[in-house]
Amino acid sequence: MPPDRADVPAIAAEGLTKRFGEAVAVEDLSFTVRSGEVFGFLGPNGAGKTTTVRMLIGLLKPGSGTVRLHGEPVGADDAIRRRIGVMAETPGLYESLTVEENLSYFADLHGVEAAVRPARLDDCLERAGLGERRHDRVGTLSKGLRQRAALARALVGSPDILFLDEPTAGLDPESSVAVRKLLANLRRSGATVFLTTHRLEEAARVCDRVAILNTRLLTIGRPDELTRAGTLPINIALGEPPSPQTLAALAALRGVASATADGSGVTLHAESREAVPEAVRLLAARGEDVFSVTEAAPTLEEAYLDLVGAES
Amino acid sequence: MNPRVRAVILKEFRDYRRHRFILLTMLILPAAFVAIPVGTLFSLPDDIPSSAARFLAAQFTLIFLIVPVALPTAISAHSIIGERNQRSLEPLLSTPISDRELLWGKALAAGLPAVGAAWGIFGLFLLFVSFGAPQAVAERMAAPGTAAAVLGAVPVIAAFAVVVSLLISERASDVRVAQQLVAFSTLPVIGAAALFTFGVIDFTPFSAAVAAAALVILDVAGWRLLTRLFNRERLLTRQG
Repeated sequence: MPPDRADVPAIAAEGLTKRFGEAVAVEDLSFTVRSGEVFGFLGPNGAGKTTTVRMLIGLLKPGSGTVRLHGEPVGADDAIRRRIGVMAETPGLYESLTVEENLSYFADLHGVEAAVRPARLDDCLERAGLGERRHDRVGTLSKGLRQRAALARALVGSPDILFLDEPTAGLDPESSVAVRKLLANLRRSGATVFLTTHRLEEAARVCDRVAILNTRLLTIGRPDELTRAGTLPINIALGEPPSPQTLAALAALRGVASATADGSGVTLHAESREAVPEAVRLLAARGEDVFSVTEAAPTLEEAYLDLVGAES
Repeated sequence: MNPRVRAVILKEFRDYRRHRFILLTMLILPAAFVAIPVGTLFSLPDDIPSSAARFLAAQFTLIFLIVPVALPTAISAHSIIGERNQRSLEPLLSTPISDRELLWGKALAAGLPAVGAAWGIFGLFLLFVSFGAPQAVAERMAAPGTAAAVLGAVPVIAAFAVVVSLLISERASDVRVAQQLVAFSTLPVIGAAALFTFGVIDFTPFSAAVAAAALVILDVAGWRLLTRLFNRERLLTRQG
């Protein structure tokens, strides 16, 4: 019996590797993205995120490995691109054309029928909050509005899967919020979104799952799972800044990953809160006055830094 | 016409209209190319010697053969590298458009105005000729052989210019370098046209047919090379 469409991953990457000359851009990358999922793709600069996206959408040929979108292999075939929308890292709009003309051009390229085009353009422009600016030339728009226009353009083919590369990069807070609202709406509408981002708080807020990449896949999971997997930050307030010897002694404790001076206190990164009593005893034995111990909420950023730092 | 090819052409035409420099080039260049021979024509004495009439007719013909080279090259030299420079290439290549559709769209958008302009100014020139050019020049310019040569040669010369420009635009890393290379690379065609117009090679139906066939072969070979060399991966990553 053929698998139900819902059982087929929207994106399935298997053993993807890409080299440019001697440099390895992506190595043995495998993951799947479920249909209707908002999937975050994180990693430092040069980690291979853009290269991965380009392989996923068939713009780059993998050195080895395969990509399937909704079960269909991605190759040089142009048909698969009818079903995807792409927003690249830079908007790449035609500045001499109006917002609507930019969208209309891409509607033609996606084969949107003339009968449904006006309604489709209206819908995309409204979703991006650009209804009032549709006749403005792109060259006159702010960076935030251009970003939103690029997002509207990515939607114009009514894609099954959206690839968004840093959609909020360089935006002011207001524009970032508008883009995040749009992402939330897309999620509610059941679209599959592959979101490449540097903004960890954004990934934690909007993504169902995230993958962290640094040439190879470091981890993949729900943001809360990854957060729990990271170290626990513990702030200890002291009477005066700790000596280097005290910091070294704290860092050497079992279950403590690192100890750093923080004003007149110390921040421990511990595997669990079990490390706290031992740390307090050590500080007391060294004559330090302990005023308070605060357990900070672990964040995706810390989990990310742990993983990428350990990899480096 | 393929709807995606048509979409590229319409988008390019819209883009030309919005760029004053492109529009002015498209208007001023043909206007100058028709004004120079017309001005010369009406300043000539009626009893111009036959040898001078032949020389002038050759010059005028050459001018009409330069238009399909001069007009499209600046546009098509910019067409691929321009997309890359304004970062629109990646979104464009992420759509269902095929390499051939994109290249056809770009080529026709650059070539059609050039062919139209060259034929248009030639027609305009013939109109002026009929209003009182010296008989000896008028006879040569309006001769069926000359008219057929201009009308027939213009599309194949334009095609050559466009294909060469696109090839360079696809490979170059800088617009200015692309424009220089394009200007340089179309010189042989202008040179060959000059050999005909100045009588170095006798203009006969046979020699014209051979030249046209050679140019058509070059056009087809150039187009095949262009479609074979067009490489999305190299364009996006500058690798390979």
